[in-house]
Amino acid sequence: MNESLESFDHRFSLHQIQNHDLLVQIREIAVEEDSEKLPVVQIDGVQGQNHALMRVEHPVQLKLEGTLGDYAFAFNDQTDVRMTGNVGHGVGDGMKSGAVKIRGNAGDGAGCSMTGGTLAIYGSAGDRCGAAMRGGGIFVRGDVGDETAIGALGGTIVIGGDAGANLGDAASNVTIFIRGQAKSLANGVTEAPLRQREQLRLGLLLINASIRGEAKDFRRVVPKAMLEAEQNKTGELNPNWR
Amino acid sequence: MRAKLEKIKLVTPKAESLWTGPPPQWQHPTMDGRSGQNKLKLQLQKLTPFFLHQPKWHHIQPEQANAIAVALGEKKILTSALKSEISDGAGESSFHEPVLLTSDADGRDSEIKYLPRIVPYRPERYGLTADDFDNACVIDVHLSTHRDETGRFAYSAEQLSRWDVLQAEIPIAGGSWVPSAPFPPDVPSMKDLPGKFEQLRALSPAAALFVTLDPFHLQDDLKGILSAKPDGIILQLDALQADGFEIAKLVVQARSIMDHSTSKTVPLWVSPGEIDADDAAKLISLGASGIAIDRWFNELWDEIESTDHTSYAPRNHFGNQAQRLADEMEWYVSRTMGLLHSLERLPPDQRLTSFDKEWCDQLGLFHCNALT
Repeated sequence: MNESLESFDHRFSLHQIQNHDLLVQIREIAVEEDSEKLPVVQIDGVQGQNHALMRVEHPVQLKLEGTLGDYAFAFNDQTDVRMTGNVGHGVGDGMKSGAVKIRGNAGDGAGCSMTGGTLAIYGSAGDRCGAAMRGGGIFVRGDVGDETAIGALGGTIVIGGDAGANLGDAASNVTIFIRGQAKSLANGVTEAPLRQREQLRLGLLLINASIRGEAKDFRRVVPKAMLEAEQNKTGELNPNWR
Repeated sequence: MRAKLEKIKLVTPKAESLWTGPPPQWQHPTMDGRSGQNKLKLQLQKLTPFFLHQPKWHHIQPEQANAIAVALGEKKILTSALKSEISDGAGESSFHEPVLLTSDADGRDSEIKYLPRIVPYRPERYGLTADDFDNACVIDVHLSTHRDETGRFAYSAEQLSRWDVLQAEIPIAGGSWVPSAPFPPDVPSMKDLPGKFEQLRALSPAAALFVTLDPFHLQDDLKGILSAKPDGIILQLDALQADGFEIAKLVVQARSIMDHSTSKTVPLWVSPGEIDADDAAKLISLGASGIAIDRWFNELWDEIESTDHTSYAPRNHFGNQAQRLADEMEWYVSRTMGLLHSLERLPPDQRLTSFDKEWCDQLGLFHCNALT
């Protein structure tokens, strides 16, 4: 048993309670507005369930150990998840806020379509990590697969290891920090200098995500359009159509 | 509205047929419901066979869009809309809010209902929020790549802005557009589709799960999708500019594939492009049970787009405009429903015919040899 699971305020088992009832019970947990510490909820019986703990939407800390299947913690909002073990495809899909920290590996599409919050994977992630994300941050200590950040329109992705092919395809306004090598960069992205302010920002992000390493070891990969706009500061602007 | 299926004729009863009472009104066919879906099945059965599939909400003001969605919903027409597409500045959309129905003046026997709504679940999910799943009638998983007005597989900056996913002063990938995806990026392959469906069913347990697909790879795609057990299929023919025969043949073919893959009770809906009310009745008789009205809407849509878009319009202006539009739709609906009602008198295989033998052979209709 992981030491981090030893203390908790509430305890539920996925074996003993239906997903819907579990969400109802978690959402009923009282949270003190002024307290800096979130109520800790331990979840037992974590044995490969699919679409577990989606839409918790409550400021609690969930602790889990085991493995989960696909779409775990989808649409996470406010909840601070600490999980030890592997997860399947689509972890943190559509996540809005809060944090999901996975001490294990993730399948394909991790953090897909997320709009905010932090997804940290302390192992490796599969293909299309951060696809279509619109905000928030994804941290992967190990490697990521092909087409990471494909179609992403915002947010930050930090890759501690290597990336597969076609990194950043069709991405806009996304910053990728990578320590290792990418098999190939997509046409629309390029390596950019890691300026001092980005080093500082990345350093803070690494500390927050509990990822060891120095910011200067990373390189920055951004969409070419974004770099051009950054360089001349009068680059093409899109009016707010709405 | 232009008819395309003139060569298919709606049959009348033989001269010596019995004069009988009126048959039952047309209803959506019974679906193989999952547990907990009984309420939904009842709700779907009470709807018209029409749905608004892919409206260009970003072409009009959100308040106008919301008023139209509400007006159509009140006419029992399923309407596809994300909250982000039709909500006002405060993020509210009355289309997504419950409607309180009361059966007497004292407010007794009141019942809370939601207007019939489709959630468009595009591969990229731009603009989708978790709230969209609440109280939806249908989740429509798009497995067809979106084409923008320029013909690219892309979304325009205007569309992205409506979804609130594009911040001002941000350069985007294509300059003024973002490429669209053909398949959800968190689903590794077609064989993993059941897992995605399971997730969506968990997010919206009472909704029916439909899949929109293009017809070009019908044999392979449809079989793969059906093996993931969706609740329904939407055949996207709108962008094809297909002629009447092609539309009819594709509907017959899709229905045949579904019938041969243990999906006889899975409804087939179709987005046929420009057809008229009689064509809608014919397509339903050929095997479809839902017809997209996007093209019926287009002329009226153009009119709305050209009207005053400013916030100086009177407060009830959008509501009146939407009501008028919904009333005009009602003519098409009642004509189609009337024809379907008339066809209920005849056995299913004797409802449609053609004087053209090739059409009959290809579509499985009986050949009317009155002209030979």
